[in-house]
Amino acid sequence: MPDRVTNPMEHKRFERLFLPLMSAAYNLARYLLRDDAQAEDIVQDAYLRAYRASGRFTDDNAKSWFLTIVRNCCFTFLSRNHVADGAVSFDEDIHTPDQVIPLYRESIPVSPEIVMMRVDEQNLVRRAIESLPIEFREVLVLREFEELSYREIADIVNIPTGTVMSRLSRARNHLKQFLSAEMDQEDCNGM
Amino acid sequence: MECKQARPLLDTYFDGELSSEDKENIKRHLLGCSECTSIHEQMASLRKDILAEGRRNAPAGLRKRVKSALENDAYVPVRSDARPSWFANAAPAMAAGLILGLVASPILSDMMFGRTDLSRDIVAAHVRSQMDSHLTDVASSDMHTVKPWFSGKLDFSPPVYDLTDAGFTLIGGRVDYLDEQPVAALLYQRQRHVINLFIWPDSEARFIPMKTRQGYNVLNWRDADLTFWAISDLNKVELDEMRQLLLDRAP
Repeated sequence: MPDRVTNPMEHKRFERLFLPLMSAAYNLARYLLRDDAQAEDIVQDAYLRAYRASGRFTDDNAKSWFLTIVRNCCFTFLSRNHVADGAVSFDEDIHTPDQVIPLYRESIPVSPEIVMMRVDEQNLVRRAIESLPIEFREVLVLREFEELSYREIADIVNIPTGTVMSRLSRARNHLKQFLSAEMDQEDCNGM
Repeated sequence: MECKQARPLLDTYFDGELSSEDKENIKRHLLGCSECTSIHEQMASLRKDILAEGRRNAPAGLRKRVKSALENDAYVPVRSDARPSWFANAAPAMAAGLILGLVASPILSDMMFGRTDLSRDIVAAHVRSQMDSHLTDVASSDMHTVKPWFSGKLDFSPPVYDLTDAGFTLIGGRVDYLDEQPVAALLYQRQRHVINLFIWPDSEARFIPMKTRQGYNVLNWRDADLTFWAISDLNKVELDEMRQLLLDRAP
């Protein structure tokens, strides 16, 4: 191994700026990948990437900068592993705003562990969010969990702010419908 | 303002992203419209549910792993504004030129990564071992079975350690052929990731930093007169952890 040169000042600066963002990164990765264990790996990888690129970080918005890296790592992973996002892609220009977003379908191959986990958790909210197509899911997570502004989300996802707005609104409508449908189901089962 | 105009703006109002004029209009509309008010309230309760049930803090284990990964990373973070100004101006061009040159020149990259790019052969051996399910010739998690198995097959005795307690399970060994000689291949498993560890005597002091090839992480180190190559689809940090564990166990 080559001798490690340490630069404690810069190392500390990186830790101070980016370690507090770990939960934000973790949740974004969890929902993009729909796999908690994989999300941990990706977050770790993202930190190393950010660390090595931190010399280029001049912007004052550490959160946007870092979450962009996390998002890229997730998408690289998904495409490299040919993970089909279960949800049908949705063309905002063609579909009318009132149309329901096509659901993520369980028939898409998901590892047995993930299925088990899902059943175990019975986490309705999580299932509802995961049922969104990825492009709606990420916008929702960035807004509701991280309270990022439309502008910040637009920069991370690389879409116009108007699209952020419409995706958010449709994602919320979808969640409302999903949740109320599930509640009805539960009520029926309880009878 | 009518419901028809108010509805499409409700999300944006809720997110606090409306212009002040629109904001006032919506506020006034909500005062007199119970239906829109209820939609607005639903957004708030949805947000509450999402935050309460959907969000989770990063696990403590992850925090620990990331911190140690950063501390052990060979990279030195340097801020660009900490450099002298002439360098700041010239650096991007220099870096671009260097990267271009590297990418464009297989000869140069061979010079840097070893005379014949071994990592390419390592990847091939790793993929092959998994393709024809010829992972091991001796399948055992007992190092006292695996180590003696190599004697008579190789002219050196590879160090074999069981790292099960650290999460790297020894699953066996086989003889492979790399760098124009028979080499020891030890198989480890970390969760669902298979790791091939190739070992052979190498007098040349080559050292190749960790790199990624075809999506696999390849890590090379030396100990005494042996060269070690670990390859896996496992992430770099954990692969490096395994290297450290093996170095620690060595006498």
